[in-house]
Amino acid sequence: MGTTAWVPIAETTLTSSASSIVMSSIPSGYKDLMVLASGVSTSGTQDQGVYFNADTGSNYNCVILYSSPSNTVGAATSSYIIDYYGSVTTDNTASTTLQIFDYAATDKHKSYLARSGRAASGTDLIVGRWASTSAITSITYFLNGGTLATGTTVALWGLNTA
Amino acid sequence: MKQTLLERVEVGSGGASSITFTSIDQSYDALVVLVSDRSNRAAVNDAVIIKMNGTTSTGKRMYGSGSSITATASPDPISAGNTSTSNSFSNIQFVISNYSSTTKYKPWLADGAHETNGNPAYHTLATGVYSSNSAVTSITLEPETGTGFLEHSSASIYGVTFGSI
Repeated sequence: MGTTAWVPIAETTLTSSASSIVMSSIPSGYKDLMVLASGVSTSGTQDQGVYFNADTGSNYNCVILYSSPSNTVGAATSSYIIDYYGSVTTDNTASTTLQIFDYAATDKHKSYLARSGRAASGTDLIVGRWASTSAITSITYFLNGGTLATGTTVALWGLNTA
Repeated sequence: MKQTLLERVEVGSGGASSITFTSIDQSYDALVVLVSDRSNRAAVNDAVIIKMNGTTSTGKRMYGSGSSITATASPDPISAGNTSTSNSFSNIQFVISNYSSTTKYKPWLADGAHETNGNPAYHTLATGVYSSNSAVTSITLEPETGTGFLEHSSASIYGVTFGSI
């Protein structure tokens, strides 16, 4: 039996504000991808989102299980977001992990699982699908309507199963 | 991503009121703490408090019991109590970002499972934040309600290196 290991592919920490962080030229030799995001917004509370291969079309769907700031639980649907109440603010108190399964496959749509949370707000478990059979070669991380602030960190790993 | 084991603690005969990691190496990018625990609380379940530099985090948790789902204003993942199924221990993973930063707060996420081969059993998704710009140099784990962890409980702390690109 082979061994598995998460191998670093890319890491970015912003030294100035930016509209997005793009991790491109992702190699195809891994099984899954994992993103760890520690986002900060320049203003207000903003949802985090991802686009694959720069596709900004209506090809993303997700189902969400969440807890709200008033400690109720619920479910929702959305599109490209990877948080619901675990959205980021200006104070660096949110965490998000995103796992993308079989990202290099060319015979299936891409599914992903996100976990996010912000201590003053809530927690989210999100399962999503990108309706494309293209292999994922780039990931764009952004805020839905906001700007990423200095200090935002995003790291990307590939799961090596060799 | 490389995870390096920094320290592992296993609770011995007689139990322990808490588990503490001190003098945490500051050279990693993040920390992962894995907990396998059972508290002495006389109930099916308890929860685990994580303290950084002696300070309790604020946060939220959402957990399912197998028959219902609940959210509360607590960051403590549900864990095993002493009337839980014999020999069952909970499994919890904490992922702590920015722990060595002196300019950022330290947000964290936790996944917890307390499977008992019975009902109830719990799965928790929790989030918390240590609202301080101080680097995290110590971490203490305690039962939320019980007064200690039972023998064979254990905890391990790993330093995570994002690695060179």
